[in-house]
Amino acid sequence: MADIRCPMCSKPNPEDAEVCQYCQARLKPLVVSSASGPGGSIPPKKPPVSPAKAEHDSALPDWLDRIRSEDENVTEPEEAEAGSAFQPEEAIYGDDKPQPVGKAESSDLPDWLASLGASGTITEPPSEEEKKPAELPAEKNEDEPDWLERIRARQETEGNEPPLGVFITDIPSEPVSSENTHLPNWISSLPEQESAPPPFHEETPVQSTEQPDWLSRLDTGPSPEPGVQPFSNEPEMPDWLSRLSGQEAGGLPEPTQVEPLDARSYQQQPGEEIPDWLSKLESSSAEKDQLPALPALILNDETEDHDILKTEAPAAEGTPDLNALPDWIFNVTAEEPSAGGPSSAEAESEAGLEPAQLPSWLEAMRPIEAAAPLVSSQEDLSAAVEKGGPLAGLRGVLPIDPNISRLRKPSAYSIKLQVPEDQQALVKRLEDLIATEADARSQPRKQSISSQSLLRMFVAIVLFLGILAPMLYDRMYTDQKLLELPGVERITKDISDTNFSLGTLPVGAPVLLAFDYQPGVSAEIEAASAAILDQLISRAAFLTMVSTKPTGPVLGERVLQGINSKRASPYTNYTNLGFIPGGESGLIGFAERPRQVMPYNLKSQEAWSSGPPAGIHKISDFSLVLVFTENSETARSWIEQVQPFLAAQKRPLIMVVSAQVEPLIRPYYEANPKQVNGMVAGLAGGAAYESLTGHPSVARDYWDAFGGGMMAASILILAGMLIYGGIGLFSPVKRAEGEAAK
Amino acid sequence: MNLAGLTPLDLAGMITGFLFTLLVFTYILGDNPLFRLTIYIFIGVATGFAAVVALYNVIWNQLIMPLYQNPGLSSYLLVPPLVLGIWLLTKSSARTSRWGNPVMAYLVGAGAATAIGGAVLGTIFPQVGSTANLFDLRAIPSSSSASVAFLLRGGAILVGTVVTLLFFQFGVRMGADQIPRRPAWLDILAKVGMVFIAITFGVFFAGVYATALTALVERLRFLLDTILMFVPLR
Repeated sequence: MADIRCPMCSKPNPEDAEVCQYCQARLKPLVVSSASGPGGSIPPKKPPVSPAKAEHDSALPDWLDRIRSEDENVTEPEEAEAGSAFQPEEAIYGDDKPQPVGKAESSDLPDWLASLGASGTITEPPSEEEKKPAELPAEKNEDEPDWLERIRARQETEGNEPPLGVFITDIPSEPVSSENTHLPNWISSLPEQESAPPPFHEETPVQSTEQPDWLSRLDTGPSPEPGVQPFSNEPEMPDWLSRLSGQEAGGLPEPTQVEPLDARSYQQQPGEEIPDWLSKLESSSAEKDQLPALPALILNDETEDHDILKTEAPAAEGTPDLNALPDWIFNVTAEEPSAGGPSSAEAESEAGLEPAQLPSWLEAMRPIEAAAPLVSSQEDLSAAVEKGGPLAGLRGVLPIDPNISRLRKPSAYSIKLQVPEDQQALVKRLEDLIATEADARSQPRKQSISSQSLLRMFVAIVLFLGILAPMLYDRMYTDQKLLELPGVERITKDISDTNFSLGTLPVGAPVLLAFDYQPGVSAEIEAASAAILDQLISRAAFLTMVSTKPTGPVLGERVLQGINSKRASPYTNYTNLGFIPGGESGLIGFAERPRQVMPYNLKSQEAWSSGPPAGIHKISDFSLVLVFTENSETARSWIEQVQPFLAAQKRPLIMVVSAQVEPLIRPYYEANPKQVNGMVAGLAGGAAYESLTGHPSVARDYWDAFGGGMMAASILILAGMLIYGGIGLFSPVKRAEGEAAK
Repeated sequence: MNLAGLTPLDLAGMITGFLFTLLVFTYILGDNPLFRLTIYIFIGVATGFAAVVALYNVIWNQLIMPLYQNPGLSSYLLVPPLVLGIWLLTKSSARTSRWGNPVMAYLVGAGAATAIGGAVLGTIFPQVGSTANLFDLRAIPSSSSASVAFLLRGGAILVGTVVTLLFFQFGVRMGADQIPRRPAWLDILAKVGMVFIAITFGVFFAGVYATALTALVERLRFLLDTILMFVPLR
């Protein structure tokens, strides 16, 4: 089923829909009765009343309801014929040729309004076919005002354009319907919008027999047809409409001069306030033989011919010229403006007229100048006609300030930032800094020899001499030594305890060696541990080497190779288990389960399957644990994690440490109970141990040079103290500061 | 040591060590590219060596070999470490880094528990007890001189510990002259503590110098022996 496109919102709707699902606009216009003339009202098509619509209709004003009820009584065949003949699409997208109103169907517009907008002009002489009188509803609504009846009757008899259509010049000749986009929305949406205000009067009861002013004026023209009640008795027709009706009836002459209607003139009638758009419509010529295609109201200053009051076709004889100025305009005289509105004199001039009450929405459409009473004078009539804008065609509007109206190109203001001079100087400085940032700066020539470099070289020379001299002496005189090893009286308790622990080892006992030091201190550790290892080898201890450092296993192999290089036969009673990962966690794991943590040795052989390791299941199974380290944290880890397991079986823990960490490990040795059972610190400790055991080794070789270096360092420190102390004491700056302090 | 007893590899190692030692000694003249070159090579060699040890000694020897050679019940205990180790590889990418958080949490938690337990049970409790035992009257030697020495030693340790801690008390009071300063008694004790601190720093310096001197002696000895190997004295 093909969809119908809504003329208002252009959205697709089902074919059988009567109203749009989105904007509630009517999709199918009401059926136009055959009696409707060229300007006759389009008989509305009876829409299917839905509950929602019924509720919607209940909220409509009474007059609108009456109109709709009239439409509902239209004969069905005519409605069906009209409904089938009319297609909303054709109304919108069909031929642009203006079509008489009578042939089209309209929405639920009142007849007077539908007849107005149908043609767009009232000057077109209706054809014979179009002169078919509007078909009266079968049932006359008793509430219908008499003036409306008279209008319809006259339409029927005369077949004229609807008198009320005079003022609607912007409505094209296309049938008046909600689908006609040329119609102002307020017109086309009248019967459908709940909020659509009544055309003219909202409050004045339609039952009143009093003819509105505007309608009575319309009656001033040709005498109405017999049977047609004159309009003068219509109570609610606004003044402007009545005038238009009068003009139509009287056959307004063709205007020779198009003058815009003065909006004030409409206000002169009591209570009758003609909207500006209406005045424009009235003044525009609409009498034509053929319905011209009137352009829409163009509110554009650029439009040359924007004077909508101009007429383009002569008014047909006998037909009201909607575009012609009404006679009463020329009879309007200037009056003093009053704040309240129309003057009372104007009210008295029109007998029996009541002030028209425009609805609020219509009131809002009026320009401010039209609402505010202005001084009406002949001068205003001769005032310049407004050429453009919404007030085009009006006379006597407030003059625009010449300076404003004078079109000129707006002055160009510089957008350049006005920077003061001081800021410009700062900007330039910043730019220079940025520009020179990438430039290579010429470095100041460094002194080839500075005082610091001289001092450094001097110290190095002194140390080298202090070390090399004893070495050369030892090379030259191998039987003589410059310095003796520390004597027994200088052997400390920690060394003697170490010797005691090693001396009480059984032959072939398993000993765990932990090489946890860095290669940089290997000289000191090897010098301190040489005698101990010699003693262990002399006791045929099974050496098991481990390390928590990655370089530890290699250092252990290096130590054994150094020992073997001095032996006639290499010592092979050892195994190197390698690196224990995990830090302290790995250490405590090895202490609890050494077989599971380190199952293979460094050569990828099973380490615990044969030999002395076969009987080892926990760390306390080792007879002695010897740790070589230069790091206080490593030593502390062994003491905290492993020593509790050894203490349970009273196994000794011996530390061979570097001289720099000896003060940090000593508290563990001097604790009660001891956590470290023995300690050898540095080259001095190794020398002392060698002196104690009587087996000189590496420490003996280094001792003379070590002593020379210590002597050189002591001399340098002492000399530095004397020199810098004396300089500080006898410095002129210091002297001046001291005198100032005094 | 003589050239005849050296293998070619030993000879190459000796010459390499000799050259690198000389390059390090060039720092006496100041920072120079030769010294930097030596440092860079050292860092690279140390890193590569650690990687080889980790791969060969840890992953191959302690994880893969046991699973391969002894696929017994005890080997199944190695499956969780293997899974967690592979899971930890997700930390290498920024996108999958969050997936490795549980493994890291386990490592951090286990390490923290080990460290805290060892510090409390291995250091704090024994050291506090040992400090208190310095004044154990039952351990005083019988001889008068020894007993005096015993008590003096304990007293010196106690006083030194207290004054050293007082040195780091910087609470001041407003004096009469509106100048904030420490109390006089605290100031005096802090000065005594400063003496103990200075002595401690001196001991540390001596130990560091001794270690460095020993290394220098060993290097100079190596250089001398290498030179004398090629140019004997007599």
